[in-house]
Order: sequence, then C-alpha cells, then structure tokens
Amino acid sequence: MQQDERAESMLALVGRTNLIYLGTVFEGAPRIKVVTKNIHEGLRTFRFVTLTHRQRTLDIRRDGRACLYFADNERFETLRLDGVAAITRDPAILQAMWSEGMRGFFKEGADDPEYSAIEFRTSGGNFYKWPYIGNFELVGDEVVWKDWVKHA
Amino acid sequence: MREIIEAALNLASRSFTAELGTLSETGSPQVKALIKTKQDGLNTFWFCSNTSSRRAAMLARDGRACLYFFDPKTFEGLMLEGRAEVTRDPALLHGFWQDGMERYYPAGPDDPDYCVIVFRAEKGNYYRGMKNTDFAVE
Repeated sequence: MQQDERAESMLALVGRTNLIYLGTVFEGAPRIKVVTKNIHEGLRTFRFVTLTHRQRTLDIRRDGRACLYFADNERFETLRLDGVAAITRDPAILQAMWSEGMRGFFKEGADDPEYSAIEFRTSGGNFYKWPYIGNFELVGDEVVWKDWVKHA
Repeated sequence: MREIIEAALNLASRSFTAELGTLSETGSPQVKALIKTKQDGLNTFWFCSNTSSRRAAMLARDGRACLYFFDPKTFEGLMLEGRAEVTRDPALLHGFWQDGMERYYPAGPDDPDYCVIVFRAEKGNYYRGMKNTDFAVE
C-alpha cells in the first residue's frame, strides 16, 4: 500500500463515519464521549457542536488534550487522531455549522449562548487497516509515517 | 435511579464491543475498541489482549481507565470510570480460551503474548437523549 493510498483510506474512513469517539482527560483520568461530525478539513481540523455548559465542554476548557477515534468494524479499519481540542464561540464558526434543525436545542439560533463548538486539531495518530498498522505525524497537511507494519 | 442503572446494565450487556480509554505516557487520552469477553454486572469487565500491546504498557504505567458503550439506534451512552489492569492469571487465560485464538496466540493459552485486561468500575454516567445521570457503581 502506497503512502497516498493510506492517506486516502484514512480520509475515506473519516468521510463515512458520523459517530466519532472523543477521548478527553478530567483530573488525570480518561473520559470518552460520542460526538457527531459536523465540519472537517481533511485530517487536520474537526468541529463538533456542543453545549456551553455540558460536562465535556467544561472538561475541554480545563484540559485540551484529546483524541478522536473512528472505527469501521466491518472493514477492520480504525483511526485514532491525537491532538488538542478547544471550545470556541467564534460567530463565523458557529454560523458555518448552523442548521435550522438545531433550533430544538438552541432556541435563539446561532447566537444562543448555550451553543458552542469543539474544535479539534490533529498532530498525529494511528491507523489500522487489516493487516497493517502504522503511526504517523501530521505536518501541515502532509501525513508523515513513522512506521507501517504487518499486524498479528 | 434503579431504572437508570438497569438501562445502563442492559446497554453494556447487549454491547459486543466497548471502547477503552487509557492514558499515554504523556497523559493524553487514547481510545481503542475491544471485544468484550465477560462481564459481571456493571462492576467488572474482562477483555483478551496482547501482552506486547501499547495498551498493556499504558495500563502497567497508569491504571486509570474508562469504558464507553453506545447504541446508535437508541442514542444511549454509558461511560464507566475506574481502573484497569493486565493479568496473566492462568485460570483466566485458560477459562477464556476459544478455538481459533491460536491465530493470535500460536502457543495456545500459555502463549506469553496472551493476557487479559480486567476493568473495575467505580462510577458511571448514563445518558439517553439530553438527560445525563451520574451514579456510583457498588
């Protein structure tokens, strides 16, 4: 499998996965939540809708270390992206993610004070595509592989 | 509260896999899906794993862990927080052994790369829709 095929496979997995596991840290212990993909720029940046006062929002404000985990159990592919998450209320970002279907949660629309976004930035990760597994860093938009080996 | 715990137990019991959260050497969170081998209520969960895996090394260094169960059909989620450890207790290794596992552990149930991850929950958080409930696991 060539370098670009691996990157393409990762992007395809991201593209077809709507429910993503978000790993965070609270007081030195790991936590997991499910988030729904809203906007992503390649493997580099992901944004998710959240509530300003939800526990995971508060956790991320205190400690931004995070990971995203994508799993396709039928194709034996998993992708973990490591990076940093932050909470933003940037009006341009909130507006870009807004859809009228969200009004059930946010009565005041895109300006609702309870409407926030999680912004995740990838630094590297781990990709498993049977029977191979590898670790990589993301430098700019380029995937730089540290290893890629056959997995038992 | 009893109904919440029953719903949480039902979700964990019908889940084939669980996502295990652990900490890397730098304290960053890591998530991996594992096939559930056995469970005792919401208290204890067992997973077959590899002694040489990064997961086992992380747990040997820092046992703080969480398990996550999610059903996309009902939009229920359960997070259990607690501790996990790696064991090579022969009774567990032999007890969990099944035909076909020699594909992963060629030397059989005593293969040095075959181990079991035991997770013990201390507290839980169950949600359905927009409602979140925290509870202690006793």
